[in-house]
Amino acid sequence: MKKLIVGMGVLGVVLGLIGLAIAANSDFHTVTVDVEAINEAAITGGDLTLTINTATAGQEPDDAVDNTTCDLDWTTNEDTKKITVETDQAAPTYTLKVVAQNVTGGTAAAEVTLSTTGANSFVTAISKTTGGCDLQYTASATAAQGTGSDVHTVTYTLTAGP
Amino acid sequence: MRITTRFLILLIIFVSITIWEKIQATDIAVTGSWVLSIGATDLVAGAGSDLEPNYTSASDAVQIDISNTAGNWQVDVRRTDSNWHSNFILKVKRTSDGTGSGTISGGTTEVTVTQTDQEFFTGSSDRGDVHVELTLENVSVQIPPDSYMTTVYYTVVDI
Repeated sequence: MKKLIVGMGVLGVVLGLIGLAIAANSDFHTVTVDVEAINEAAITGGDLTLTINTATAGQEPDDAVDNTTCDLDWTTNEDTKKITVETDQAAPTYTLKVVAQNVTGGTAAAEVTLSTTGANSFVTAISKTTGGCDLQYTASATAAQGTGSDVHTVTYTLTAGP
Repeated sequence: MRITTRFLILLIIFVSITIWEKIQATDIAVTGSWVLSIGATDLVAGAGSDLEPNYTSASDAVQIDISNTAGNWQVDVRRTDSNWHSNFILKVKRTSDGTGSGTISGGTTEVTVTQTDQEFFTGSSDRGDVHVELTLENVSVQIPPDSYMTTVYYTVVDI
């Protein structure tokens, strides 16, 4: 019986010491991070004027080309995006084409002849990235089209797509 | 009968010791939280640039009170993730000594919060209104849109 009492006493002391050693208390707070969808595209370089004013005798006028004035930059934190391009000029007299050059953060599509018939793919395969490219515009005219000017407002859109 | 009585007496003693220790245990109370929204306005330089990598809460985003002390203590910190991105690095830093009769030291340089307890700061006697600042690092556009959440636990241990 004595052994039982001593044993229980020792057990009580040991458990008490263990309890003291692990005596702890906790409290908490939460950290919430809301990451919004980011799909940003912006043109740098401003407005561009292409002038067709040279030709070789006996041939159509030379194209006017510019690939240094305007750049397009984009950022997205989503997958499977593309950039499309379209113009608001419904009845252009002359032909205006655009193609992405020196692309980072995506893949350049083929050169696009600008029209209002629908947005054309301009850069594809954009996923959770930053990127950019040079905008190369090419204006073309035939001698038969005479003189004049077309004004285009060209819109680039970062949208869902492969 | 006699044996049963003695056993019951020992049991009562043991239970009393356990309850006494509970009463004596140092308490910690944490108030505050941090809600962070990250969007297009956080791009370093607009389209074509990445997100700011680091975000810091208010210096008093979290307040900690240590009470019912019986000597020296240590506060450990850890996190339990609900929906957390593996790229995130969460850090805590003590930005005030708080008030009270005791002492406080450590924790004034950032401690990375992991999923296991790490020492944050130590002290003695009661301290109240100890301010804590949080920092989130390694944010980028590689992290998809979502609502991420983790719970930060502070545990006070008698030392």
